[in-house]
Amino acid sequence: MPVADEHLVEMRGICKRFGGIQALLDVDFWLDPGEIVGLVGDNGAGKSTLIKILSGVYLPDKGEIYFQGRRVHFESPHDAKALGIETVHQDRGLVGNFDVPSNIFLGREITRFGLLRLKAMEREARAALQRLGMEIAALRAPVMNLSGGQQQAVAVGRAISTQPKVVIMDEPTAALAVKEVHKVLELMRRLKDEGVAVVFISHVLQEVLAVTDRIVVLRKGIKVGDLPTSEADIDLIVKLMVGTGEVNHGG
Amino acid sequence: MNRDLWKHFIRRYGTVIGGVLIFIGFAVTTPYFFTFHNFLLILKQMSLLTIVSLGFTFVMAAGGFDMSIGFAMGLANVFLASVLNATGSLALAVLTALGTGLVVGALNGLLVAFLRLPDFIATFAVGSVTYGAKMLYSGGYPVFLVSPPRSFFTIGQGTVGPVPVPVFIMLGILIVSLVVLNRTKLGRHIYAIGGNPMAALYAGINVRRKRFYTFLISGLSVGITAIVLTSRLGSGQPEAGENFLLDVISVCFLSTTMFGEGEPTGAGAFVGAFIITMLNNGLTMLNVPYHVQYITKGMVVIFAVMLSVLLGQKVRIKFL
Ligand SMILES: Nc1ncnc2c1ncn2[C@@H]1O[C@H](COP(=O)(O)OP(=O)(O)O)[C@@H](O)[C@H]1O
Ligand SMILES: [Mg+2]
Repeated sequence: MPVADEHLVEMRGICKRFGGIQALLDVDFWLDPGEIVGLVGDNGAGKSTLIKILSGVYLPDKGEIYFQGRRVHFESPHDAKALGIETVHQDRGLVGNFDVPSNIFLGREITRFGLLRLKAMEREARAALQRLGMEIAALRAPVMNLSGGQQQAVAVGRAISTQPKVVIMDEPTAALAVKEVHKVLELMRRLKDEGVAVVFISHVLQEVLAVTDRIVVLRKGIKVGDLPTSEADIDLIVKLMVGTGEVNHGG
Repeated sequence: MNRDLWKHFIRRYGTVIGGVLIFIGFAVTTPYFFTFHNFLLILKQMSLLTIVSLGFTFVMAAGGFDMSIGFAMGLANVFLASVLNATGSLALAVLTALGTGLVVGALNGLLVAFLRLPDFIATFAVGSVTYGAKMLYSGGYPVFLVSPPRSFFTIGQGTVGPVPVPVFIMLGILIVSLVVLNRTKLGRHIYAIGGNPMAALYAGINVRRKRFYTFLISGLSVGITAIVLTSRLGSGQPEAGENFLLDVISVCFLSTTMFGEGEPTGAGAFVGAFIITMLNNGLTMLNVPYHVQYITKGMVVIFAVMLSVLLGQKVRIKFL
């Protein structure tokens, strides 16, 4: 395969070991603009590890990453962000004692003459959340005082307020109320319509089936399934996750 | 006020109120404590402690600890005095002191931030190396200044009107620290690293480099302090500054309990240094033996931290 320019993102032959655990073995994964890809698998299957490699948190032991056909090396999350890859990690990655604007602008604060523009950041944070249909009254309160759903909103708001090309969401709906889950799913559809590639990790297969275009299944660090959502159902996915089946389409 | 509001109020301002009470106590029990002259004296006495505590605040805000400060100061003292004797150049001597602090800070930062040694162990070991180096170099004896430029003594002993020069240096560094900690990206990132290092990493912050910077800043504050200290003493004292570590830690613990933030702040370092220095000053006036003062200071810190923990404040100090 000499050219890899047909995909927005392509990961090839990704391997990652943690001590004695082979978290990922020879995993291929790709994303196209405007598609929502579900990434599923049992606990410990390697989902978070795979997306952490794509977001620059971990270096792979082996394997290559291409972005718009170009080979890239992510030394840190900064490098991935620079290409427009934004991630909402499973643990949300918020600083508990920081307020909402400080979290939303963490790492890309607005400054003038080297000094933070607190008012401007507060204004923009409010605007960004409003565009998302997320209303947070206590913008200046430490985020640890917010509800789980509101914290999730902040984490998501941060990820998508940068006009990203890729948005990765690692279990964004866990511990959310039904209404909030629908908001997250709705948001993913909107991102898709804007041409953003979305990775959606969830244990609730109904959600995954409802919103994704394609589903990738990991089992014990190995990719055992990669199929259009239209050809998938819960039974098949579960079988792939825990059983012995293997389905791979396209490439 | 209902109970929760009270709790909140005490949590936020308990340490400050305690400081005011101690102040009133000294003012009532000793005749000379509550005078303008003594106020200036306390400001002068606290100036060095404040500067080092501000440096330490950067390290602690990023979730770290620096055990090397006291020994590093002695090394900077003797190097500064030797260079001043050898060259007669004030600028060179000052650069030497700052450079010594920075080198020790860089060593700490290298070990902790880049080689990922635990900060207690690494900075303790660097402190030990520093101690050995300064003792080897000086033989444990002070380096007396032979014919220093007169201007050198202005730094530690001069006054502007009634106000000692070190007080101005302290206030200058306080202002710079407050601005950097509260109003710049660097300060914001340092607090983020202390609050949740993974979140800082995810946000694209160069965690290692910024932790490294905090140790550099701490080292720089030690170098600055060594200049003022040596100027005040008129000689490079290898052991001067060793007892700073205890006081600096006390100040930063107090700072952490202050204003209900649960993290050390620049303002907290200033108020904390004032409280600790005021205790020394007042207890001396009451003729309390010097070593009893350490016991008293320790108890004050324990009380302040205990109060905030009891009131539900999350105090982010590693070994609590
Ligand atoms: N930083 C780490 N250190 C050691 N082991 C890890 C680390 N991260 C993940 N693992 C291990 O790698 C495997 C895959 O983990 P993970 O990617 O988090 O799975 P998932 O997100 O699919 O639940 C698990 O066995 C996990 O224990
Ligand atoms: Mg996971």
